[in-house]
Amino acid sequence: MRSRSRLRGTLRTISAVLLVILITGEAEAQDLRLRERLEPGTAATVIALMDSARTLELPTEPLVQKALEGESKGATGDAIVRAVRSLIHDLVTARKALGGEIGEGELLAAATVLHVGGTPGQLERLRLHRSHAALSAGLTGLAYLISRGVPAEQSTDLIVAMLNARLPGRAFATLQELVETDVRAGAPVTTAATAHVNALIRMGPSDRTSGGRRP
Amino acid sequence: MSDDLDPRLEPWFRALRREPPARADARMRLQTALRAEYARPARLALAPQATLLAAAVLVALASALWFGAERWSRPEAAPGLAKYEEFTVTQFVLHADDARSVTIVGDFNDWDPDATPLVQTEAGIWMVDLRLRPGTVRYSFLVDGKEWRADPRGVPAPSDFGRPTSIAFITPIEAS
Repeated sequence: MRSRSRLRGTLRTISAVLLVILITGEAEAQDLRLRERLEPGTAATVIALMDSARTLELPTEPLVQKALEGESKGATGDAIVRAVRSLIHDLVTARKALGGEIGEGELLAAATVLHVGGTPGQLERLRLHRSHAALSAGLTGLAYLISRGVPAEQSTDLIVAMLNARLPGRAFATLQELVETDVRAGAPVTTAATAHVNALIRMGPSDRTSGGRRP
Repeated sequence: MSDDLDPRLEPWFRALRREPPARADARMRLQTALRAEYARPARLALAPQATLLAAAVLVALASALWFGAERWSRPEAAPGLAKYEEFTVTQFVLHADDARSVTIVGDFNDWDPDATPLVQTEAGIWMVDLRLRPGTVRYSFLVDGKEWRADPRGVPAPSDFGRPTSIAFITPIEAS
């Protein structure tokens, strides 16, 4: 009994040490990329912001990508820091709106909803569907519709209706494909989105969705 | 130590060192427990298992560090949620008659202008297939290394840095 509990303790310690090493290793790799590409002052500020994000248990790689996007596009240090701060704010707001523990994929999709013009109130309407398998697809679909120009409230109505109908993730990919096809053919985006959502709901969860991805 | 003590304190010390009388039933329980513990065969066989496990964890750690740069964008399903396809092949196309080179720059390649060139498949049609993880992906085309262009077939994204940017929505699809 003693040796077993000792083994358990040892394994726990090893796991903890490895976890720390893993997190530290990732953090150092992220820091290195920032230091290589950004002005020293900007890099230091972004790294400090990332430390804060880690404390808040937010994903940090999207922050790195935001900073690198700014550098690649020739933005000033101030603009880069502003954009990173704004993304942290979106992530925090999104998590609060959806409530409790959600996956990283869902959190990033929800932050994108906010970035493209959605509101925390609209995200809160999806809170009831937190345990829905297709929540991540639903959030991605919501961000897509808003980005395409469907009014945010109406986009939320459509996505909530799809989630209520228990449609699978493929249905949201299909919706995107169908709307893109119609928009290219000159149809108004809101009309196209509404018509296709209604059709998908009528078809039900076992639809023949093709699983397409991107326009 | 007690040699240095005042001899007058010696009786008090002796009294303090004396073991207090133990209750017979408590002594019995303790002895039984100790006998049971020492009678148990040594579990040396567990040590190699622990070593193997630690080795496996170390290999996993090395792999995680090796592929760490890719790890972030994987949507991790919350408990009870579906498993998603890990990658989706997505084709990006740009029509640019006058271009000598076209690259795609985005969240998937650290916004490195040289990392992902497009191939000209016919006059003025530039194309690339990328394996992307589900989620939203921001990207731009860079023509001749200097001209930023949004994807005319894509969805325009809010630009934080004043350059045309597109956004791709890679819908998470349940693994079949």
